[in-house]
Amino acid sequence: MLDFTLLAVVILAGAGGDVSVTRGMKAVGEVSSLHPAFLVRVIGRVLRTNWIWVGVLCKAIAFGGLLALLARADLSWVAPATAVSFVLETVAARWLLGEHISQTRWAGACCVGLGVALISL
Amino acid sequence: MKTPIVLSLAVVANSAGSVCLARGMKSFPILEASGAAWLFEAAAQVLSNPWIIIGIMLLMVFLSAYMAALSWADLSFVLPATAPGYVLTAILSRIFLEEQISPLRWAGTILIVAGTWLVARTYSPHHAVATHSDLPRVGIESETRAGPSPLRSSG
Repeated sequence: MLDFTLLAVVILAGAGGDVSVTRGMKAVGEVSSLHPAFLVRVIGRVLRTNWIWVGVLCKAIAFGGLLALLARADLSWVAPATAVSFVLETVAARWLLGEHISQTRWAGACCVGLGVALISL
Repeated sequence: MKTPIVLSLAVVANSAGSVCLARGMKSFPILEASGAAWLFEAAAQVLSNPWIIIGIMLLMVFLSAYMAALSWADLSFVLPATAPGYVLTAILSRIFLEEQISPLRWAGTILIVAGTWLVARTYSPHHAVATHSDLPRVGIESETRAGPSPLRSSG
């Protein structure tokens, strides 16, 4: 049971990190040049953006959770089990965002869900 | 030619990095958590383990290669192309971590690769429009637009 709790931490904190970093980088603005002086200014703006720090904290929690999980469970279970995020994303997109989900995507999410059930037996 | 090389590098670095992290973490005795001091001590021990350091470096190689590939290739191509990495991770776990992988677990892993392929097909706007031309355009666009963002670092 603790394995599944840790898996949930890894997936939810990872997704939270992606959303926060994306939000932060949108606030920073497009990285339109690779000129060193410009990059230094971009890095300065990144470090002063709160969403970036929220994202880094989420990612650190996700990585800590992954390490804790690897200390307890088989890698041949942990690695494919993280794919359950495809199922959660699909369900969240449908019920929380009200998006239209194509049949191909439902079929893929079902395949992943069944696969995770099989590796967990 | 650069795409297969970069994606192969990403897949191998990800699987090998995961094996190193697992190997490093298995070398610690499982202790009961007890307070913030314990957490810092445990973190310091984990982050100074050579297997963990090699694992983190390999994951950085993976992330660089994966993001470089995404800069010129579509996620709908990169995601299914790296999905067989689940099988490679299983093979490496068996060889280097001596994990027993039951036929059921192999079947589940292959099913997950297949599922990833199917999900990835829906990230191509051309595909979605071509197969669902009878559906309202707004729904399709919101699905394809919202799809890739949470996946960027999941591989």
